[in-house]
Amino acid sequence: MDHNLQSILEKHLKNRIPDDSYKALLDELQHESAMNNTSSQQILSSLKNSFCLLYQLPGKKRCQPPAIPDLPAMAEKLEQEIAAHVEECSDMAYQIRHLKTIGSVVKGGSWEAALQGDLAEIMNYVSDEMKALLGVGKEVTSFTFDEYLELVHPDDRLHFSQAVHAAVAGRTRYDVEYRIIRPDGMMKFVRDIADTLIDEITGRPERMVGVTLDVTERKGTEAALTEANRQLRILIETMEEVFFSVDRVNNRILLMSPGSKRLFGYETEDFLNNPDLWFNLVQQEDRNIIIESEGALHRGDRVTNEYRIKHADGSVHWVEARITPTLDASGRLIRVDGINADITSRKEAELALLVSNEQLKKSNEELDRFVYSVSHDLRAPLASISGLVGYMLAESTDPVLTGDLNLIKRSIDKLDVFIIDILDYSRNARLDLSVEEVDFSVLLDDARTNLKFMSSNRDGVEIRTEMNLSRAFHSDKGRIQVVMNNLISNAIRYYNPEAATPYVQITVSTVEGGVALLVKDNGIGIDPQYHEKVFQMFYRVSDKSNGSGLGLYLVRETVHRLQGTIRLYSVPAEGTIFEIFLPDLIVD
Amino acid sequence: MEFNFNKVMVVDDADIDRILAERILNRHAFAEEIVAVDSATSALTYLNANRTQEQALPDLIFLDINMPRMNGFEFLDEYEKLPEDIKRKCIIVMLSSSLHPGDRERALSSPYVCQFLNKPLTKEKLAEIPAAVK
Repeated sequence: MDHNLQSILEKHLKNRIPDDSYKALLDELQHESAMNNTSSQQILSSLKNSFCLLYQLPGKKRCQPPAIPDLPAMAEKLEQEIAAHVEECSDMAYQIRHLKTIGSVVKGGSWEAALQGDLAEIMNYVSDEMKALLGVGKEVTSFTFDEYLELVHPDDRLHFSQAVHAAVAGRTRYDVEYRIIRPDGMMKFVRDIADTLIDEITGRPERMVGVTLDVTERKGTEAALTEANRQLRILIETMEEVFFSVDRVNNRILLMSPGSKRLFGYETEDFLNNPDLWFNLVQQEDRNIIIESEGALHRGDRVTNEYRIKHADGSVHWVEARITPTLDASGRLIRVDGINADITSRKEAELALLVSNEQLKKSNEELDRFVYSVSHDLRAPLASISGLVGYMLAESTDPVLTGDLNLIKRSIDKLDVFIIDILDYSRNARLDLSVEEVDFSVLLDDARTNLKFMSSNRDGVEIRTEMNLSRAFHSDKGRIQVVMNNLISNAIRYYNPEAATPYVQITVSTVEGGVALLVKDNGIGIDPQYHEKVFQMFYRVSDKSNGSGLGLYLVRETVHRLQGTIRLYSVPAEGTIFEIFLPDLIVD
Repeated sequence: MEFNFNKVMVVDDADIDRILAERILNRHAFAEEIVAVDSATSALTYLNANRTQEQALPDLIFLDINMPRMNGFEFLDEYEKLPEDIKRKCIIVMLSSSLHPGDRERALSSPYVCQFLNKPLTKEKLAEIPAAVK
């Protein structure tokens, strides 16, 4: 009890009422103040109650009001002084300001209701914030309980009034949530908290003081959350995939969705009760996959594992696990969440594909060997005959025999070219590209060597090469060799005997994205009407030639296989130019 | 008469190729003496039997690839196992009608092979063989 209050009491009461009465009153107030740490405002109301003591003093005997004739005037005076003092303290002003602030921040208002009997109440104070919440005008000053109940959603009225009655009957507090239907039709979710105040004299519930908060927004969030939760639950329960969460600190499985019954053959509880069950189901030979992925998880990286598990029914299934780790602030792995999916059928298809791919590769290799074997077995006797005929030609002086031997030689060469073309064709069509750095000088040297012994090059077609390469080039060396061999041998085969110096000029230049190959000769040329046809399979312009009709077809097919382009420019009796672009097939 | 080589061995299962090789080698005075054998095993037997007589060992070997029982590559493997006093680097010329690029590479990767020639053997191809491989 503060000194101001004490001096007020002293001034107005001390010499006007009996000493023992004054002393008792002071004791009472001191006690009240010390016990409840009450504010001046409460002291004031307490003092009002305590004033009754004046009628009961001394002891239990009731004082006669006439004994102190000016008591009413004195009491009035006292009340004014105290009220003034309280205002001086300006507690109220603060409190009101605080209340307003709180009201606007929490979106709610306060109210006070006088109780009439146990059931009815009249709300005789309704704060402006409360009015705004209820959607009623500021002119409304009070509600009866029934009027208020009208505003409550019909489904919530029973629940609300029961709470109120229980609080009044038990002289306690209530804290309920219900819906308000405002006069404008808008619905609000509110949380209503109120306390029952007891009349200290009668001990009966006198009034209720409450706060009503707008929780519509929270309810909306809650509803959305509930819906999301419901959807997630449906998802988790119906999906074949198994969701799981593991507390890695305590090695506890937090979640194993019901799909586990289907995937592993065990119930959720089996996993929750035995954290090691899951790992024990993983096939022995695949456990390393899981152990090896631990490093990534500890670094906080997501992991996708594929391994086999043994289902409760004994069957083996392929499982894919996609795992997301959670690290704490210090970088410690505290939790993993993930999804397990049965990928057995996919895995089986993959394996089947792998096997058939392997078989295909094998049969391709076998075919390749077969083609080589056959071509070799065809060429070997041909080479023997060719060698012998060549020897006889060198030894013979008989012009008739020499003529005949040359005819034989020509047929042999023709057959040999055909075998080589068939072999190249078969390889180009079947084999994968084998990309590596291409050294054109080596490649052209090889071509030169290969063609050096061509019998039709006896008249000496000059092979010229020119390189303008500024960077490395990557492609399939073997296939480029086939292209170059064919083009150069064509130039030799169809050289122009009239030309002073028959030649074939090969120019290799670096261009954007690859190389340009130019094969230019001063041979007999090709009539424009055949320019398209020469690239067709088995098409031959001249029946006198040694060609198989496969050469240029093979060249174009091979260039296309190398993702390149080829163009032909030719004028009869002047020469032919093949312009080829080959892209760099660099493998990153 | 000036010969390129003293002694040349021809290893080929095809008799026509052996005959042709002998004729061409003789005709162009390529070798003073020619030892022609019809299999890789006979060639090995010959080399082993003559390991103590250096003048009996060939200076150059023409080796076919496709032969029954032991082929040219298997011969190369066996040749590598021979005692050091028989072996000579760059002594073998592969002579084959194989078009497989792998065959050529494989042959030339052996330290004993100095050349890979396609059949048939001709005067022009003989000129390709470095005279001083010995």
